Amino acid sequence: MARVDKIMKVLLSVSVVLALVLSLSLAGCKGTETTATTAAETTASATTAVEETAAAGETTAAEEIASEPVTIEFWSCRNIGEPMQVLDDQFISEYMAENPNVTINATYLGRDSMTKIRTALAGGGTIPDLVDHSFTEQVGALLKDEKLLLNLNDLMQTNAYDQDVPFKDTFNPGTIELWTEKLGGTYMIPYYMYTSLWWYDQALFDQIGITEVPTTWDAFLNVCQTIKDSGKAAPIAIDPGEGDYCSFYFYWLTTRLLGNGKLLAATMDETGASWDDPGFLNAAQKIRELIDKEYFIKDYQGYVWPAGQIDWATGKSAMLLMGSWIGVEIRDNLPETFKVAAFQFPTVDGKGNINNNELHETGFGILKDSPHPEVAFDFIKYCLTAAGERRICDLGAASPVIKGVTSANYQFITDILAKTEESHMPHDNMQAENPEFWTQVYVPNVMGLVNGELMPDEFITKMKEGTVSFWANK
Amino acid sequence: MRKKISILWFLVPVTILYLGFFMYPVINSIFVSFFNWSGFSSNMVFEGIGNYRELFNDPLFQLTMKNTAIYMFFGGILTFILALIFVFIFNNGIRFKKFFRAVIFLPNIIALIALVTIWNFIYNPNFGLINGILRAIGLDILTRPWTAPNRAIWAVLVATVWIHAGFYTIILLSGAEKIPPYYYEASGLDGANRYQKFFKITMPLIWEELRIAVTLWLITSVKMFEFIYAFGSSGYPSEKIWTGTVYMYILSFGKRTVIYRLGYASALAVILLIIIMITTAVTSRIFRRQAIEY
Repeated sequence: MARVDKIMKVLLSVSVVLALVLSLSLAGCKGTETTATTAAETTASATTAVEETAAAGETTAAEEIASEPVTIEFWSCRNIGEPMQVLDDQFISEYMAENPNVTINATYLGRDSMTKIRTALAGGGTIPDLVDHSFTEQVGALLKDEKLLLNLNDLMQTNAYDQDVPFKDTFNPGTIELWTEKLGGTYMIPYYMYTSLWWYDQALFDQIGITEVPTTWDAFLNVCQTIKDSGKAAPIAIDPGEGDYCSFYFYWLTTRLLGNGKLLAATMDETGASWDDPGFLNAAQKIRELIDKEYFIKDYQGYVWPAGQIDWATGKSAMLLMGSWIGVEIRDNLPETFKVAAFQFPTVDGKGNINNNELHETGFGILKDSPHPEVAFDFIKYCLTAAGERRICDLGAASPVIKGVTSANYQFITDILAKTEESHMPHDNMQAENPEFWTQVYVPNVMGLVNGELMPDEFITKMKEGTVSFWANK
Repeated sequence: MRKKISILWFLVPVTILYLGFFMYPVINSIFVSFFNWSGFSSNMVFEGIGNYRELFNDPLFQLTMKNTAIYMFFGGILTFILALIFVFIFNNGIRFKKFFRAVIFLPNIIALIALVTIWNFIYNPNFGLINGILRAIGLDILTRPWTAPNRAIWAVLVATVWIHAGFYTIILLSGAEKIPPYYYEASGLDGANRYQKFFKITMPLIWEELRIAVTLWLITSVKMFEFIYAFGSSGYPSEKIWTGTVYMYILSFGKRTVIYRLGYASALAVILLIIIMITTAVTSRIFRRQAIEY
């Protein structure tokens, strides 16, 4: 009996240990993302395929796209609760009501969705049909090394959701073509456009007596000095802990001084000799000038995002060089007296075209292996009717990509972009075309420059040495 | 002998689980570190020690190793000084001991993102707690941007010491509370004061707990990730505060700027593993001595 008791005790102990190890292991193997998904069941029947509809010249709006039940997996970069996510859910519900054979399962993964999508593609489990993100990130994750997105050239020829015109002709000129040449085809469909501008409070400018926005760098410095002398606010707000936000200053200055593509080309030059171009040193010196003249708000070096943009929104700083997403981020936090306005990055030393604007697109992509690309594309077309685009752009400060659409908010951004004569990608497209260099060499040094740790000549030396060393290491 | 063999059979399932879920990923990481591989495709190119060679020439790797060393040594010294002070106070009979013990352990049970938010507020140069107090007492001259690049790592260090000191206090206290009181009584009769009792009795007798705590700290400091990754921004924090683990994550998965170099990141992981193994071996050697039983 005692022997049996002993055996039972041993068995019990081992079972407890095994159960603990198993539960810990299973907890560690969490598997697929648990972010919220939305779905609805559908029933019903029949229809017309996209090709037949296009051939008949009929719109797809009133007819269902799928002849039998189809499920589309949409993995979005949105976070639960953000305005675009709420709108996405509305689009999905409306589309499914019009197309009862289609079920769209939306999974909101947040801004690092691209990593999760690549993991799913490598893992062989459920893969998405439809994704969205900034084009820079989609290119970096899904198109740079191998084309994981579907070429949409053929589908773009099909009619728009609610019009008898090819879908591609509903877009503002230049919006689809922005990436087409680089990629050798259309792989992504934009749903809005951002740009970066100098944002300011018109009411504050009126108080200080600034009646004209600066269009040259010297005029910009005069505006900074006027604001500083007024004592009402610091001239410039910044969140210097963000690499992108520090890069805005340097990349815009080099784009004006040297033209599009020169910064990227310098990062690709294995000899490092491109950094000897005096334009780069000039750009770095102009940033140093802002620091020496104390145009950045006091103690900005210790700011942790979003402290800088909060200072701007609350009137402690007058101007903020920022992407137009700021219009969404601060929309609910502005005082009533705040009159949001923005001006373009000025020309510098007589160089650069003020209507050479940054175009930063965000939009959809369809995975190459999607079993129902035409259905996913039909949903895209639904979102990008003129009415849909208006709803997207009314959320914040995005500019519409669809012809004839005006935004209820920040129309001045659309007006600025409408004057575009030349265009370039944010940060000279370095994040998409040279992401390792961006992380390992460029961002640490440009943050050092903007934070005042590196003098201009030190910055150029470090960039040159870093470029040589980076490529030698490859 | 038969009994021992029959017991061993019960260890087989656990061993299989351990090998599958712990040892296999480690061995696989070492294998992957010799390849140029994104982690997301089938294209693995053998590099030999190429990733390691690149790593030692990578200025960011050098910076993260320096940062890891700062967290490990300075963080460890400050954490254990604080923990030992707490042990000294608790051992000398403080009222409401359980309450204070719970308070100092509190940071270990609060969600890390909440702690990051708290410390971001504390360090804010405009309305933060530190600068606010300094201004309130007329010491404006001492206000600073505490998270400026040249001092960000020290700001994070202070926060991590605050977070971890309580945990190590509990470990050391568990040893201190086992010490029989007659040791203190006898030394008191010989005229020892409380400080002498602490250094001559308490410290030697919690040596084993100290060894365990120091080993745990060394591992924790090398693996430090969550607080640092969350501290700073919506993107990822300034590289001034990165540890090797943060850099490893960014190389593997990125966040906004996609890099996807799992092979290279695995080489970094192997280096971190070697660092942990060496430091724990050295610690065991330093703390080795004859066991004291009482």
